[in-house]
Amino acid sequence: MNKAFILVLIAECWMTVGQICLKKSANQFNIEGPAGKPWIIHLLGCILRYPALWMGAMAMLAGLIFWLAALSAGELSFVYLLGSIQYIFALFAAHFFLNEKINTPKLIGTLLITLGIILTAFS
Amino acid sequence: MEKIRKINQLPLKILLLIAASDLLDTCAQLLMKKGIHHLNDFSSPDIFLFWIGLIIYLSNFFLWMNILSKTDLSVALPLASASYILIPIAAIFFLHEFVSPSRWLGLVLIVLGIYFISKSKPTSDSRFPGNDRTRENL
Repeated sequence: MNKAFILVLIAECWMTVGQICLKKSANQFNIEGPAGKPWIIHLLGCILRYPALWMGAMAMLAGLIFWLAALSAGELSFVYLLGSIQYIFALFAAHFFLNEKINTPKLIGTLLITLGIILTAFS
Repeated sequence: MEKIRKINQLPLKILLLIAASDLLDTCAQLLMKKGIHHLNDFSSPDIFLFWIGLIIYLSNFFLWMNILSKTDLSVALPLASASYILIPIAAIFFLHEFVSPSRWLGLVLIVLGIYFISKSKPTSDSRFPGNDRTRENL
């Protein structure tokens, strides 16, 4: 197996963990905050109160590090296209951890992306 | 706040923001790729390319959050997938990469797949009646 391919897979696993954590925390509070309060202060307050928020951010950063490793190991056009595997990971993660339904358009989209990734990976 | 549902209802400002986000993503990936091989080589000016790319990448994250707060993911996502086309083109011109026909075909399938996923109906969330925020999650 290609080294860049493995690194992209690890990076996108972390990114998916991050997305799930961020979505879980985004369900818990209103991102806009009370009127008149600067949103950045509100966001900082939320980061302190909701662990899922900063855990999500940390997971995204871990993903970024593996993404950079993948970038150094492979061609940009290869690595970036493989990155779309995140859509597939996120679909199943959202199904199991956020109880989101998988419907036909999502399945068709996932199938097309999978085919695209296979074509890219063996190009 | 009522969100925008269709592309032809999209204000020019949001359209420009999404286009800017696509371009920033392309620039960031390109600069990071150009600079990453020189991370240990402090005499090389290319190391700055990497850090500029990283800063652009992180600021693009906040721009994307801003776009999502103004419009539905189902509208923003297919437009944002333009970077899947921009990046191979940029890689050909600036990194002299070879993009094979099967990779182009893979790219077309991926963009089509993203379009289908973005057009799917969101799961209704009983905790947030009338809230479309579930759309913002894949």
